[in-house]
Amino acid sequence: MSNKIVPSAYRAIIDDVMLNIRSEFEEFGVEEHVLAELQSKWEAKVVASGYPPNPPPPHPQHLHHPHQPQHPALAQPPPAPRIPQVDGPASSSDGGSSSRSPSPPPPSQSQPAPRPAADTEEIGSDLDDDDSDEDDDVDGAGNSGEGAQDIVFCTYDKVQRVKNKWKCVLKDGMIHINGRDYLFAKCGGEFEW
Amino acid sequence: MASSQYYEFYRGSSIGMALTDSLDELITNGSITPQLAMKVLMQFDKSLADNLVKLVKTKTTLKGHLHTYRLCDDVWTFIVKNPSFKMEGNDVVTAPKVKIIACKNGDADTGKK
Repeated sequence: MSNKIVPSAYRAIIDDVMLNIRSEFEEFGVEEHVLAELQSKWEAKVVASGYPPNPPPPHPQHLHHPHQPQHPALAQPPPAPRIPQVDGPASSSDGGSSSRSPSPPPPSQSQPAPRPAADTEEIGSDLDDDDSDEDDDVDGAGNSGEGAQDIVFCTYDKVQRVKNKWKCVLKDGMIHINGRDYLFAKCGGEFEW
Repeated sequence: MASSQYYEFYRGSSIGMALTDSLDELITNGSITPQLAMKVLMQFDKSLADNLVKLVKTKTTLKGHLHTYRLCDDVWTFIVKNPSFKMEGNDVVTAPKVKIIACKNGDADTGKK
């Protein structure tokens, strides 16, 4: 399932911008190759953020993977283990011999020491995505790097509320959700507060 | 002809951030000046707005639990929990939480659409 318009819309936007800034670049005396460099950097980053600027070949993607069609190029960093953790207690059953450590072994001695520090850091960054957002809410929505935050940019025609029922009419939206982009001309929202 | 003002907040979108980051890199390596970068971003604001309106016709609906809302300077910000976006074609997309930033419709130009 995909919002098929997105790649071609992005393509049109990029082309439009590049076309129109050409004269500015000339005025500023910047060379052509910088223009090309800007375009390729821009396109690369757009691809990395989860959506290619070029229209994808007509795969029947949505037939295969209704939830997550494959994307050719992705920067989906696998969750890197932050704690270089090694099973401490397990080795004790073997007599605590540090000689048997086939896997990359940080010395078990120094393990406890950095651990509390790493723990707090990791706790902080783990919760960063979810819980601290709940506290800060509207303000604390930091960018977690790769646009991992689910967010919608749009305009509103109308926002109204009756008791705790909210209804709104949104227009011209860019949605980034679950690492993918969608666009809409109009969106009707209904929420309960 | 005076250039119209377009909303700048779309720069926070994926494509906007991609452009901003690229421009930052070029500024850092001295290829362009910050002023030129500003001009590019202003052009982006315009190109994006124009193309969105021209090319995108899809309609969606969104339901969810409104966790927080804020209105400030004609900008609504909502945090919706367990949002469910229904895209065209009966496709439903969900997430644990989504933030919505919505500026008042009608270009920041004189007169509305």
